[in-house]
Amino acid sequence: MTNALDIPAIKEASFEASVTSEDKGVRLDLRGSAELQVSDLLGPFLSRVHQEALRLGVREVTVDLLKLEFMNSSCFKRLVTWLSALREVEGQQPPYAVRFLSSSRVRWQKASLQALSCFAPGSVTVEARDVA
Amino acid sequence: MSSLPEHPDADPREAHFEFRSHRKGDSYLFELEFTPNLRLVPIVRRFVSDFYGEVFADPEIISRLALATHELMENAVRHNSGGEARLMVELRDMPGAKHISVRIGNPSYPENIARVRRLLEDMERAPDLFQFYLHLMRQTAREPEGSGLGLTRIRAEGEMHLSHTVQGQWVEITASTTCPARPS
Repeated sequence: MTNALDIPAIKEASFEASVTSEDKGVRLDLRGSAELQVSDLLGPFLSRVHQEALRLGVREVTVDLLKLEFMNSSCFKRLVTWLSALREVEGQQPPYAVRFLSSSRVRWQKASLQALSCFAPGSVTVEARDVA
Repeated sequence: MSSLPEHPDADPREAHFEFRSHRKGDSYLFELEFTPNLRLVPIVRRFVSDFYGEVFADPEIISRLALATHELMENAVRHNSGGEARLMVELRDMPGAKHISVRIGNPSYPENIARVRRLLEDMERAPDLFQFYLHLMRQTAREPEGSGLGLTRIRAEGEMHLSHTVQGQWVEITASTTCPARPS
């Protein structure tokens, strides 16, 4: 399956990731449980998102984690690698911002996203919602 | 008892696992012996999360323990040099609280054992653990494998103490903390 951005979605039994175009940019939806088995899929997927975001010149990439039950360290590291690539793009400002939508009730999301915010300050914002 | 799966990603129904629990004095212990199987990891994480929910009222504590259990089990599968792994969860009664330790034991390769030892020593020495975590993220962002982020995450995000013991090829890593117990 592909979308308007021509980035194939990930559809595994316990995890799905898809990307769609939005007015202001690009939206990623991660659902299920992101574990070791999908980290090798998630890495290239995020790399494609990064390349497309640069190509299209979008200002923001939204990452929706509201339906993500869990993310292990291997998949978390894929996010780190992506943000690292974003930091390495030449220029005064990061070419686009990454906005995470998360649940304020899910502790690992709060802790992991705080770490990502400090890892890539100026690139990452976190919008926490009071949903289970 | 079924035969060992040939691949750590095999159908978990083909994996051997054996569960035991017992109470000893003011401690409650449960043990799970399992053949290395990645698909067993989330099943056990959900199972122990339900168990943690019976003991602790605070969902944040349950989430911390679930994260530690998952990362430790995955480590035991990824770095297993061949043979069964053992998850041990021990709860000890304390006044108004429970001390909980989540321990994983598995046979591993000498280089992995050395890496764990180095990482835990570095963590112990770090004056600021969160900065250590950020430094590790920067340092290993481009490395495909073996970043140590899983264990560091247990310490930095899960706020659990980490220790380890080694006997020959057998390594045990323990994540522990003390938390307020659910009011009875």
